[in-house]
Amino acid sequence: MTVRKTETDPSGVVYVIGTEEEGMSWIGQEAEPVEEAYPMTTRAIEHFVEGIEDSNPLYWSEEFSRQTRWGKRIAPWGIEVLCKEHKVWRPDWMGEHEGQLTYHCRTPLPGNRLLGLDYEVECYKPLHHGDRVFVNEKLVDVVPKTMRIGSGHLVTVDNFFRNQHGDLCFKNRRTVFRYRQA
Amino acid sequence: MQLPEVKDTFFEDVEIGQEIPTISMGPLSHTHFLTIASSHHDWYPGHHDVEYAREQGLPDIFMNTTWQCGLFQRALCAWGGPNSIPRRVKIKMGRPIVRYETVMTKAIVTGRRSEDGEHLVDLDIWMDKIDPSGNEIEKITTGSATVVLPSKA
Repeated sequence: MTVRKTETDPSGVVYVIGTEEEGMSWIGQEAEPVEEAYPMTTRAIEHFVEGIEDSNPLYWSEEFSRQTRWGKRIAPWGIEVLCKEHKVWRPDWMGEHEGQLTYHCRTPLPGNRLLGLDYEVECYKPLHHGDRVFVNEKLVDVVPKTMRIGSGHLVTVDNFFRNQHGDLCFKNRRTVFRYRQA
Repeated sequence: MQLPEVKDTFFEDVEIGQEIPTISMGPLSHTHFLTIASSHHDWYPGHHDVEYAREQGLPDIFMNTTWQCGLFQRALCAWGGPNSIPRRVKIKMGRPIVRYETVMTKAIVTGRRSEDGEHLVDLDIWMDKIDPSGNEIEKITTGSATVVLPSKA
């Protein structure tokens, strides 16, 4: 395995450092599906809903949800953010962990910081308590860009979220500005 | 637990130009920011570390993208009802949402269509910063959405 230069930002996010040419040569790469470490849980769902203060009974009431097309409580449609978001620490990160990073970070580029810009999510099937989630991502584009906070690249990545039955539940496309902080 | 009543909105009852109910949150305290970082697993320091955010040239810690998307999905699902699907939400970040600000989601129907047996409604969506009286200060996030609604047919 090639050992690449990495830099870590104050939150613990690791960036693989390389040239613009290297980064652009990665466009179109698609990773193998990776299963999330834990199945979806009611606790994770309710904690997520706390953040948006959503009292929709679909997320809170089994009795109500049984009367809907879903037949049981569902996770809110934005729950896909719980998958693929970076964790601060994992025991298997004690050594090399480039493979754990999203293309936003592991595409070799000069940038060592991220700023979220555009976001698009498509929803097809909800997740429920106990569902296992498999995610694979694709590097869609790398475009040079200069903004007020620095110079860098717009990095666009697609993520596909499937349940244990292989159903596509969500797809998202996220564009971040990956820039260099001196 | 007493929960609000949620009813279906049917495709046939939707009109172009119709505005859907707004949702507001705020003033957003530092605790809100920490709760959201935790609930979204988003520990990017610009969302909770004031010094870090200011070093990046931003006025303060700022709200993350996926929270804004989640708030739009909350508004769309509250309007569409329990059998709707927020098929697509696309947003473009504008000015940052920082501590002690209050925001409000807005949406207006721009189109209705049926495709592959699904009944789809298109909307323009945006988020305003508002003052304590509920008056718009500025538009901060813009985008579009498509919602699948149940049909009476």
